[in-house]
Amino acid sequence: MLKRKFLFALIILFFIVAFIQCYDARSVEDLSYIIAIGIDTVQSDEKDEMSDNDKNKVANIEKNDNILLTIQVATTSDSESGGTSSLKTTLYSIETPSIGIGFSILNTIVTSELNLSHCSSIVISEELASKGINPHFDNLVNNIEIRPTASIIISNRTAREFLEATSESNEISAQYYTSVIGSSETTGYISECQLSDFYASIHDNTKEPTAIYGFTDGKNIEDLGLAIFYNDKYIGRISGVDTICHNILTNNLESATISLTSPFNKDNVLDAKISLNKNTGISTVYDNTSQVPNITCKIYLDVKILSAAKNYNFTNENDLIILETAISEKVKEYCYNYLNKISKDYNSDVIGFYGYLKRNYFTEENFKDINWSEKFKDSKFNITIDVDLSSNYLFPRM
Amino acid sequence: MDFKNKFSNIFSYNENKKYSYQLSETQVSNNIVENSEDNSKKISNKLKENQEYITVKYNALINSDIVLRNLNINIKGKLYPALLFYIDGMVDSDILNNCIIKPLMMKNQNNTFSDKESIITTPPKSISDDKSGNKYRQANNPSISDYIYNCLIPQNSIAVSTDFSDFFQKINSGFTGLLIDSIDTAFCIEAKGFSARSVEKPSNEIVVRGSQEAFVENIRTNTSMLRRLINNENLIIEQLSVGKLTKTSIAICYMGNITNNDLVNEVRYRISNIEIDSLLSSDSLDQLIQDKTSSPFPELMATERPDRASTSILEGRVVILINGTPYSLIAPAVFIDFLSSPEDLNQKYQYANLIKIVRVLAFIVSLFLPGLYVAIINFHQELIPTDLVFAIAAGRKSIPFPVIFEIIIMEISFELIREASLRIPTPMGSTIRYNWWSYFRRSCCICKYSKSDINYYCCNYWYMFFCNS
Amino acid sequence: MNIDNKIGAKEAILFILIVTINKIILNLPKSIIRSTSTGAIVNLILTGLIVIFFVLIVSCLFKNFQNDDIIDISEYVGGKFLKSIVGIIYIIFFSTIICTVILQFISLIKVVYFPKSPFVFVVLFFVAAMSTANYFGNKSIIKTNSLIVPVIMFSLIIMFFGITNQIDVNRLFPIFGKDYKSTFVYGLQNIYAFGGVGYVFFLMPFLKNKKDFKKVSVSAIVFSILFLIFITALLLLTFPFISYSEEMVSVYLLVRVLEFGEFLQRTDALFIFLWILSSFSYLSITLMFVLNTFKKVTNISDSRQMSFSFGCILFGVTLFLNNQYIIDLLEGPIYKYSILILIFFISFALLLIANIKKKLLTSNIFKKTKNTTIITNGIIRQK
Repeated sequence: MLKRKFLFALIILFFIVAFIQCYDARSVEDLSYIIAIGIDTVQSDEKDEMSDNDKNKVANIEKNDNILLTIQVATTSDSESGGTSSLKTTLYSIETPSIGIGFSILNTIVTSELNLSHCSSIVISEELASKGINPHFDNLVNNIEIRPTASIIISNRTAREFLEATSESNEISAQYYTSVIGSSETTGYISECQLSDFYASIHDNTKEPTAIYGFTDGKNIEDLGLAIFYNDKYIGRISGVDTICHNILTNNLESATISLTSPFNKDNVLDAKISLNKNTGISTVYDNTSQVPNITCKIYLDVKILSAAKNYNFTNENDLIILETAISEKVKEYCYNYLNKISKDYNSDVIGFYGYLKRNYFTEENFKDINWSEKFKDSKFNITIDVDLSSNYLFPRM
Repeated sequence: MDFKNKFSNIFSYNENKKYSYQLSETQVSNNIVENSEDNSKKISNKLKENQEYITVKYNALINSDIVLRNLNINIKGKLYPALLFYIDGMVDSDILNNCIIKPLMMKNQNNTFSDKESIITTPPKSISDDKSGNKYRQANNPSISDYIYNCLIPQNSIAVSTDFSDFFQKINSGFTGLLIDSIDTAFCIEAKGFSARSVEKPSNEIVVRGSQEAFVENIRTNTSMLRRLINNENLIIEQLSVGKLTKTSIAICYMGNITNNDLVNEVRYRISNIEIDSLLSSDSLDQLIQDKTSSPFPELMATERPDRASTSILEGRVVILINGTPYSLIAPAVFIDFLSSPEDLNQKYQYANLIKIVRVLAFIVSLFLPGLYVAIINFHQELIPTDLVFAIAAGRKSIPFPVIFEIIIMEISFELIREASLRIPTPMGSTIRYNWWSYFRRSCCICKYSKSDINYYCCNYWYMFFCNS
Repeated sequence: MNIDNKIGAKEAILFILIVTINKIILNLPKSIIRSTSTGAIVNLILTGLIVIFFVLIVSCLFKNFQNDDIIDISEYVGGKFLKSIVGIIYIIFFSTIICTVILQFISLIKVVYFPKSPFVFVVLFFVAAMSTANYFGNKSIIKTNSLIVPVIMFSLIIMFFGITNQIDVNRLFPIFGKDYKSTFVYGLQNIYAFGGVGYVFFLMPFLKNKKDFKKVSVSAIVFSILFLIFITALLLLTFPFISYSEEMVSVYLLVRVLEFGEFLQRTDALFIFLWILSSFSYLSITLMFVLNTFKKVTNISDSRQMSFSFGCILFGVTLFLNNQYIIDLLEGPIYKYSILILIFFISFALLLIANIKKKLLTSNIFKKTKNTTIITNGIIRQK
């Protein structure tokens, strides 16, 4: 009996010794939390801001492959006054051949161990994105700590300038990037783009990736529009209005405001708040005779007129029909502009029409001959819009 | 005193003459010699012998509360020496005087004769032939013990014992013993009158709407409460005794037409087979009849409420009452019983079920929250929302201890507080508590300003809890 | 079998289901998607129907052997020799499963949560848990399993609600995958996904009510099919690259992207905790079968004492096989072909032969009885 007790005690002791060291324990205050990452190309002194025309020139210039990795680290301090709404951040930058090495070197600079688990934003400069971000991206995606819900932002200037502009902002908080993007989503001028979606789209042959386009003048930031990619290369951007159409077609529209000339009085401008009534119906059919894809989009909108009803009566059926037609035509015009831009100008299927084409076939063998990347730019679009005018708010008649 | 004596007084060795007592591990001899044959010693018909035996057995010369009252009883005109034997403090003096001593010594009309009547020691052969003018009273001529049992003692409960073991057991439980010369039986008369606590409100199982009675230490009072509540002739209350020395009364209560007989047999079997010297509490009995003492989960539920015990009996369970403790044991008990409250039956089912779910959640939280907190803080910082992680990190910067150490100290502190609040004497308790919690409250306020929100809310909650308790 | 160890129908269903749940967590859907691409769902429905049909036949064949498992049946067919061989094969098979599961699971959690902890301690954690659980007996394992499995099933269903933002229905098309052959012909090999059928052969002695055998086995397979289809569909809908990527554990990628509003993100730690519990349960059950089989083969009275011995052996083997190539080999072709050959072929054949033998024996006895009556009647007839 005593022997058994002794053996039992020995086993317990062994387990205590084995587990008490807790090899992987790192307390929450021992870490430095990165809230944003910026990736740039290494800037040379004579380099000016890129324009679209210079892009090709830039692509042909031989440069070293180093990147400028910038991290925005939140500084937590035990202060007597103030709350967590205001946060101090510090920027650290390093020139590095890859992100992994960059983080290890930065770990030597920053006092505590860097932790990526609260990184909410990855900012990439336009210049670097146009060369292709996949090599650097794989490093990020393979990282265990990073959140797959981190937003991808393409900055018109360098990523470091973008992050500097946010650091100087007095409103910065832990949820700064999330709230900025969240507030813009209600306008429809951007579409949320997360790391997991971006990575999935790079490897998805039915859809091309998009990212949020962020403007900065060095002091302020503004998220407006989408950056369009082809595989992993940035090829252009679309405006806020085009982004609204993108959101309509991808069923991501919460609400957006558009303005149009009043059909009753050309001097007046009508503001309308549009939202989706039902999911947009898309069908893609490949016409074997003309060798051209035919894409049909049926959009269902719920519209509320923001402007007070001048020169028309919202309760009059005829006036309603005129309004609906005007709004429908306006939205159609925007959508055609957008679709022509992505097909003919960029040849980048960011909506995923190819995925709808696959629905018509049973096996991959049946459609493998269709070279979508070449055919997409010749696509013919047919858009129908069903507008439901639901309200004119307070003054349906003036 | 000369120099030599002074010197020796200073530097001499003096043996330590302080008295110290050390108990030996093995006892050499015992005052009380136990002879197994004595247990079944029969009562003798000689009063002197019996009195001597009782004096030795009970150490009557030393024990101050053992009372041996010699008296003479007049039985059918003849005086018999008798002995009343009882334990002072366990008998009711009024019952003793009015129902035992007076009838025996004074109001013995059967034994009194008028002046014209006398006891004829040598009766004639035939009464009809007697021309002396004597009046004869017909006598049944029963035995003396029957005569005493039937006629002389006007008391509701009398038992007759023929051996000392039974006699002593009754005396120890509060009976009064009557031994008479020339009779080899003893009479055990119920004249119990020890002071006991009256039925009060339950101190630990409080309900808002419901019965406000609780069990007391006296087993008979407890069984009477059960009888009143259940009010059914099928309620069976079996009496057992446990403990070689204390012979504690145990009552097993169950419904004869509802309870599974196997369950009752098992309970009876387990209690009957307990070999122990003394049993003074229900928790001891609980541990003695459990399946596995090594398991931390209880198998019997203790309750001080008669309504809860009655509900269990009516559900088919067995309730065990122990003399000397106000807690009864309910067998068997399942896990959910410990998360139920007597209040549940007094409320609507929707609310009662909701509260039960809250209790289950509270159980899970109290069990797992400290460990979960340590795990998340040390290993899974990504699980915490970003705002909160910065607040915690900022708050913890000034704390020198690792989280696990903090949590262990916290758990030990709460146990210390709990023990202190139970054990500390009341006059000192309120003062210490007030001072302690004032300090605690101040440290909570400091915590608040350092934005350690979790610490703040925990401290505040416990502060309010203990101030209200 | 001691009467205390008998289990009810629900407990039996749950302990067959734990097999599939563990395999789902350890990359089974990925293997199916790799072979059939987007046709995985159709393929699973087809293979599931085949397995249900198979299980129905097995339950019919088991009607003649109400208290026996496959080891007893092999003894009936070929005596003690065959019983020993089959027993040893099954012991090796189950032991391989244990080592494979431990290695696969550790390869995930070591990368994600225990990068600095010594490998030995992590293996010891699993081995000690399963050995101790078996030391306490079958009843405790099965009852604990009955608590764990519903929680894990619920957690897998909850995944759906956290992943609705990422789902794109177009990723399920084309519905039949690469081509018809790979989905309907070569894809039939995917019946190995229902390895829980192997445990059905050992189920009969455990059941309280033998009539529940059919209900239990079919219900367990149906639930397995549903879960497998559900998780496979979620993977296909969420990740377009799943057909050709080489990630470590696909379901872990799935739980990483779960989002329940702004407050709850990166809840993968909670899921991993539940998966650790499920792997404990699965390993304990598999070791329980190893010990039972060992007990039958060697005729020992109590196999509980062997739990620590087997634990030590498995611990050593697991440390020895710590190589990614070997892990891939074990979880891939070795597991697949051992299920196909041992469960779907050998065990089924044994069962069939046993039934034929029993039928022949009973008909021979009947024949002998008939001949006797003819002779006693004085008329000799040859049949």
